[in-house]
Order: sequence, then C-alpha cells, then structure tokens
Amino acid sequence: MKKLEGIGIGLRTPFATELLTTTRQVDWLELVPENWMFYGGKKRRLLHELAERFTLVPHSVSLNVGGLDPLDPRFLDALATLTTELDSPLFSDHVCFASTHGRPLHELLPLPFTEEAADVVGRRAREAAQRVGRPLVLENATFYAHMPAADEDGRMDESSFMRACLERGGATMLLDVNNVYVNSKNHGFDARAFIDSVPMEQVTYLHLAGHTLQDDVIIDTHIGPIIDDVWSLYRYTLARAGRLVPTLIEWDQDVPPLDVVLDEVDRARDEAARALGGAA
Amino acid sequence: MKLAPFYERIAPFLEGRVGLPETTLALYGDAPTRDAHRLAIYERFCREHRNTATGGVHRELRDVVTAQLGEAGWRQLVEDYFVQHPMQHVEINENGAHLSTWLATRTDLPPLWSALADFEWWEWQTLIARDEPMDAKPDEGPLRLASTVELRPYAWNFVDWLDADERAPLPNEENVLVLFWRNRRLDARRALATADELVLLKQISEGVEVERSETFEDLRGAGIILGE
Repeated sequence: MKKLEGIGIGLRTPFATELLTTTRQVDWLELVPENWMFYGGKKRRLLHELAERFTLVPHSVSLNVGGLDPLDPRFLDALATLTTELDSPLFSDHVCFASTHGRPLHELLPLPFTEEAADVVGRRAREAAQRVGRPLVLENATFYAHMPAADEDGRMDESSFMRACLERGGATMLLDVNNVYVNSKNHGFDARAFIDSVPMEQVTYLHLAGHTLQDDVIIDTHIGPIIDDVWSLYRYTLARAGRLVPTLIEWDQDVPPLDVVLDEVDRARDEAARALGGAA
Repeated sequence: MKLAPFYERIAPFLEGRVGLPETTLALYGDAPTRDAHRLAIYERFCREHRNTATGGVHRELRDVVTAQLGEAGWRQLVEDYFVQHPMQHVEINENGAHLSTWLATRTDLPPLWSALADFEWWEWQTLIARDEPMDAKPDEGPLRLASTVELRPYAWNFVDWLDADERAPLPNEENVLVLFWRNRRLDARRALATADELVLLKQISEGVEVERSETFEDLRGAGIILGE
C-alpha cells in the first residue's frame, strides 16, 4: 500500500492534467471522492494516471458520521472500490453531519458537542472503516454556530468532543490547522491551547488553507493564500509534534494556476524546516 | 439536545422549508446561543448547493429560464423542484436527475424547458457514463453499438442552436432525433441522426448483416459502432 508523507495538495479539476507533467515537487494528492468515483470516461482514466505517479487519499464529505440514518451503502461501496483501485493507504472525512432522513445536504454541518453525538460518531466511524477496508481519519471541522447542547446531554467543548470521537471510533486525526484558527477567531478561544489538547501521536496528517472574513464571521472558504497567522500555528503544531506531519494544502475556490498552489507547497516545506530546525 | 429531535428540527430549515426564527426557537427555546444567528450561514450554503445541483449540468436551461423569469425566478424553480425531489445522491449533479420529468408536469411552464433539461442531462450522462468492458477493445468482437449510445427525440433542434456561431434566443421548433455517445477518445458527443444512420443503428442492434458503407465507416470511426 502506498505511503503518506511530505507535502501534498488537493486534486482539483482545473490543474489535474498538469499534475501529470509538472517537474515541481508535490508529494501526494487528496481528492474529494464524490467528485470522481461515480464517473467513467476521461475523468476515471486521468485518476488512474495520477495514481501511477502519486499517493492519492480520498477525503470525502458525505460519510455523515454524526448522522442517525444508516450509512449510505452506495457511497461506501464506491469508496471501497476507489481506495482499492488507487491503492490508497487510508480515507478521511469530517466530524459532522451531512445529511438528514436519507437526504444529502452537501454541506459539513456541526454536531451538538454531546456524549450521545460522540457515541454515534465513534460507532459509525468503526463501521465505515470496516466497510471501506481502510483506516478512517477524522477531521476537526469548522463551525459557525454552536448546536444546542445542555449540561444534562453531557455537553463538551470542541476539543474534548473531538478527542472523544477519535477514541470511541478507533480513528486517528486529520488536524485542520486553518479550522482551528477559524474556530478560535469565531468563538474566542486560544488556538494554541486547542493544539496543545490534541493527542499529536494520533494525528495522521494536517490541512492548511485560506479563509474569508464575511461580516462578523470567518468562513472556511479554502480561498488562498494561507495567512501568516495560520503559518505560525502550523509551525507551532509541528514543533509540538516534533516531526513533519504529512501536510495538505487545500485551495477550492477561485482556484489559481497550479504553480501558485505549488508555491504554497514550497512555503509549507520552508515553514516545516523552520519549525523543526531544518529537519523537515 | 438529543440527536433525533435535533435533526427533526433543523432539517426543514436546511432544506429551505422553514425560516430562521422558527428554527432558532425550536432548537434553543428562549435562550439562543450568542452565535445562533449564524445558522443562517448553513441555510444559505445548503440553498447554494441545491442551485449547483441543478445549474451545474443544466446551464443552458438556467440561462433560458433566467432570461424569462430573472435569477430569482430560476432559484425559485430550483427550490420548488427540490421540495418534490429532495436530494438523494452524494454526487451532487445526480440530484438533478428528475428535473426534466418534473418540469414536464408543470403545465404552466414552457414545454421547451423540460426538453432542454433532458438534452443537457443526456450530454452529462454521456460524459460520465461508467466504463463498460464491452467498450474496452473497440476494434475487436462482434459488431455492436457502444454502451454509451443513446438516441432521443426532441421537438426542438438543440444541436444546431447550441453549435451556432451566433445563437438565437431560442432553438427552432423541429422534430429531430439526437445521437449521444462517447467517442474513441472518450469525449462526449451529440449529433442529429440521419435516416441512413438510423437504419444502420437498427440493423446492428438487431444483429442483421450490414453493408460496409461510407456511413458505416463514419459511425465506426466516431466510436458509435464497435467491433468488426
């Protein structure tokens, strides 16, 4: 099975073909499987060509790990087929809900941070990993509003909730550094304290991305470039981990030419070296 | 709040069927959190996704509807569609699968809209169709039609309309048959079917011996007819 290491980027259609021939260093790719796995034709062929050159990690948005409906068998079967085809070492999704009553909403929606929700996430994370046949890595998502949770529901803060989900699900973590920053600004907590609370030995990889200020809230738009405060938090995270945790640059809206995205990859490599004293 | 009542109360809001004040009250009672007003962000995102789910594939339809009803009219049409056909698929565009048939039931709307939705849907289906083993070796095996071949009737000539250098506001009314298929380079193609082509397609689908005519070679070169 392929290995996950170094600095990668999110696979986006506008520059997917160019990745086959670029001479610049990009170590791995992450793809949103919903945008690829149901397609035949040119898109499927391109994916196989990319898999010959890169480690490809499916990063889905539809697992609905916090939902109450049965997990979608059509989705899981397709994901299992894709991970096998691509020889992916793992797959990842978000701690959130993404559909209700069997109806996808195509959005990453926050859960109440409660004991019951953590139990649900844990149980379904184990089921998903078993059915896909690969380890599941869970990402801390952004949230703009707290969902209703009372003390009698076993209310937790985000950090405790995330740890509970990981532990109960037997999953490792995709730590989205930008999401930590966005949530800390939107909800007024210390981003570094959140990083301190993360069990670093359980972090499989990191996300970095840009974001957008709209009115009184920062939206996780994945519009780059990454701001200096997030780079600073990235260095802090790596220093805490004491290793170059595999890192992924996301750029999803107003997608620029490939070289601009790869400039961010180069910077991530430099920032990692700075954080780890040249050991990256 | 337990998850079951939570989903019961938030789902209608996210699907655009209930407003923010009622939802805030249902979720938080008379003590909303300081950030409860930001629920509106999620409703907006979900509404945008419904627009993407239809407008991504049906771009020409969106333009035609918008020209007649304005952007607000198009968006209302999308919302009305999803009330009848809530999302079912994690591949977002698949949720527009019923748009054409739903439009056909709306007798208050121009029938051209339903036909155009069908036409764009089949362009899309041709592009993404799964790879079938029978297409893998196009020059081998018995004569057959490629798995992606689809023949559909329309009362408007969308092909010439879309391909025109200077496009008219609407296509000409004309009964045509359109062939959709994926060529040997896996590009999605569509063209008006001629009488000669229709005869050949019928013969091959029925397993009848065919004459290796110029039309035959054209269809074979295009990837519509496979085998030898």
